[in-house]
Amino acid sequence: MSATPRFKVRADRTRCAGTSQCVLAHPYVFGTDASGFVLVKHDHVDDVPALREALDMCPTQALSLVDAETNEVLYP
Amino acid sequence: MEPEMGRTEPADRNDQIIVIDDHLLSVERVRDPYPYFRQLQEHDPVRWNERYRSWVITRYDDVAACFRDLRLSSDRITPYRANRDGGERHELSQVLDVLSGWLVFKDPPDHTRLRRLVQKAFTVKTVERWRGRIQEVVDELIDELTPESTTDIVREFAYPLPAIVIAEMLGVPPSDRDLFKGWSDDITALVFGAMDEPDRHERAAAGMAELVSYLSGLLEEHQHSEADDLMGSLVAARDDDDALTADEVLATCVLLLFGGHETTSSLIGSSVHALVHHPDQLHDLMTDPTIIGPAIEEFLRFDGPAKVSVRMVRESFELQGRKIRSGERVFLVPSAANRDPRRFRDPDRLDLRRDDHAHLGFGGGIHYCLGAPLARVEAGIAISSLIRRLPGLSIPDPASLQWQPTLLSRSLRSLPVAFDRVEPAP
Repeated sequence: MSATPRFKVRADRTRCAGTSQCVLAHPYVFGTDASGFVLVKHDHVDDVPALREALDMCPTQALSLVDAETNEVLYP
Repeated sequence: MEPEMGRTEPADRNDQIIVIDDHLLSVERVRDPYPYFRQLQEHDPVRWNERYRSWVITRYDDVAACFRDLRLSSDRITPYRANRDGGERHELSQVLDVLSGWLVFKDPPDHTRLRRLVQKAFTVKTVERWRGRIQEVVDELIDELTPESTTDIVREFAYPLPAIVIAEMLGVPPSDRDLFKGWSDDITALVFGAMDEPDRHERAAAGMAELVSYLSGLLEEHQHSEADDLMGSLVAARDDDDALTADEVLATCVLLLFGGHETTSSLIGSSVHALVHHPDQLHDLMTDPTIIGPAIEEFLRFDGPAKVSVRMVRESFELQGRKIRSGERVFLVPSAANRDPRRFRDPDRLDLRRDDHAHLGFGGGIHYCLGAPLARVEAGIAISSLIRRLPGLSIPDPASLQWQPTLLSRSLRSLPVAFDRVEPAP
């Protein structure tokens, strides 16, 4: 039985500067488009500590972790 | 050059009809470069500047794309070294050794490894922890101001603030604070290329030697203790088993110290300048201080410190019908891009409530300014506090203002202001 994921990753592409730090930190979740801006490849995650670390690496705070049901921002 | 009939190849060099000269540092263009940049954008957006032997790229989309294009190299040190003659190379050797360790001059894969380690030590969270201390330093500097005569807000405030903050963040004791100002000045003269200072090489070399020697001592202390400061975090940063070497920590500290100094000072100076010249915007910000975040983004866009970013072409490519060849130099011009009417509505207007913050004032791509979060926090606290605590802020003699005659940055030499009184810190 697989539980419904509680967390979702969100990327604000208007804030993304294309540094690729998130991709280096968490290549499963993050990728980039042809122009070098962030794409969320897998938006449901379970390993929250590793994801938080990846979110911390973004110098423009373009990434957040939200509640999968309510969309409430949980981090940062 | 007359285009050949039926030619399908892109133009080699400039063959425009409008005559555009190539002075980038004439008195007029140092004072106000924007009309010239607009002219380039309209008539020759990818221009070969013969005077500087460089391509000058001015449209937003082109500059943004080039910042993220790995065919453009950030390694300006290797070619610079290759071009110097023996004597000069020797004199500048140590400066260049340190500079070549800077992230800003590195390409992948070296850049990737180094940036990741440094980024771990210097996150938005790191900076947020310093917010309270930055407010204290800002308030102390404002406490020292007096309303009797005109005050140079650059020298008395915008200049010392970022130096004090980054020195404290790194772990430099307050008693050694003043030493840094001198060294940073000397190195700044070389990197920002103040053309009117002929002895800049010697002073940069001496400044760098003293700074590195001082920081080596500080680093030695940090290697034997787990200090809760930025140098400590750099020493502790790990990516699996990888860590920064002592030389890399040193080079990065010099970069942070230097980068945290001149550019943030310039941003604070130009923000005050812009506000005083736009009383409606100043009034809006005083009435609603909560818009300081967007306001700082607009100051960065409108007249930010990053004028030109230099890149070397590693692999030939075409842009706007021009052939840009391997080995050539490119000037990316954020100052021009940030006022490109193709990208920003009414670009020459200062609008603190503008909701489009995609300016290129911090660059973009893998070299996006590491210190951006710190610059944002410092400038935000600085501007909020200045306008709150110095009522009647004005520039008595705007005609006499001078900008630094430098290619890469836009920076006021001084900004003499008057104000009614100094309000106590809240």
